[in-house]
Amino acid sequence: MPNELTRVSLKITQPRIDAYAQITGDPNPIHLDAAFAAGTEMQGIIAHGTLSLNLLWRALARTFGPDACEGAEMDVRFIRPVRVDDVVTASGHRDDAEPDRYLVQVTNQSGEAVITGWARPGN
Amino acid sequence: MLSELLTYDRIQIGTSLGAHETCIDAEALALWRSIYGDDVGGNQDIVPPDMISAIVMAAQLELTNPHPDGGLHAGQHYLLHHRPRVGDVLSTTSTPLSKEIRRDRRWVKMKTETRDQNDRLVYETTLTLIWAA
Repeated sequence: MPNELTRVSLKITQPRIDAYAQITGDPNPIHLDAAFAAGTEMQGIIAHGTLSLNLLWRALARTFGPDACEGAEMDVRFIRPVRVDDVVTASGHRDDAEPDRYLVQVTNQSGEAVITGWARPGN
Repeated sequence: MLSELLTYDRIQIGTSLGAHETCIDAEALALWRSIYGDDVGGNQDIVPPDMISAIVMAAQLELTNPHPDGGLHAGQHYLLHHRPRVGDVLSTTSTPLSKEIRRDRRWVKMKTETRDQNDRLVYETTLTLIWAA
């Protein structure tokens, strides 16, 4: 197993958020309606958390090939919102304590973690 | 769709919310590629592995609909057993595992299972949610 997962990045745009809302059937205005979102505690539109989380699956697939996702396990926490025009990057490094898994994170363009957790590739 | 708003108080631990069926077709894959640029799936006949959360979230939203606006996802745990094929009919069930109020927040854990049309288990997840009301 390599020490690092292949990094995967994505710019979060409103059209991408809109398409993701369509796929998930999630009409939550916090993701779609700027006027509504401005009045919430988030003070603006935030992206679906899983829109960024999916980059971790892509990092696993790019590192080991998509077949290695069969049998894979992942555990994550959402710790910071992602906003329109943020650029998020998924990465991971071998966990010294449990070498068969990776400590993973998604960070924004400021280097702040938005998702943290661990992932174990499948067979 | 539920007949009443699924508030925190109405969530019943251990009682399934039912099943939601979906089918990933060419149209859904095209929309997926419009977001991520490609599908990292390798074999084009197999659903890309990174679609797991979207499939589960779509089912979870439908099975808990209507629910109070303003909820948050705090964490998720995934086990991906098999990658379904494009065109498979995927059935996802959701069952509340636990709920508790901590620091004025309503924490709910839900377990989902997704099976294909042959009853093969493809995904399992545990969702940690903060319920809005």
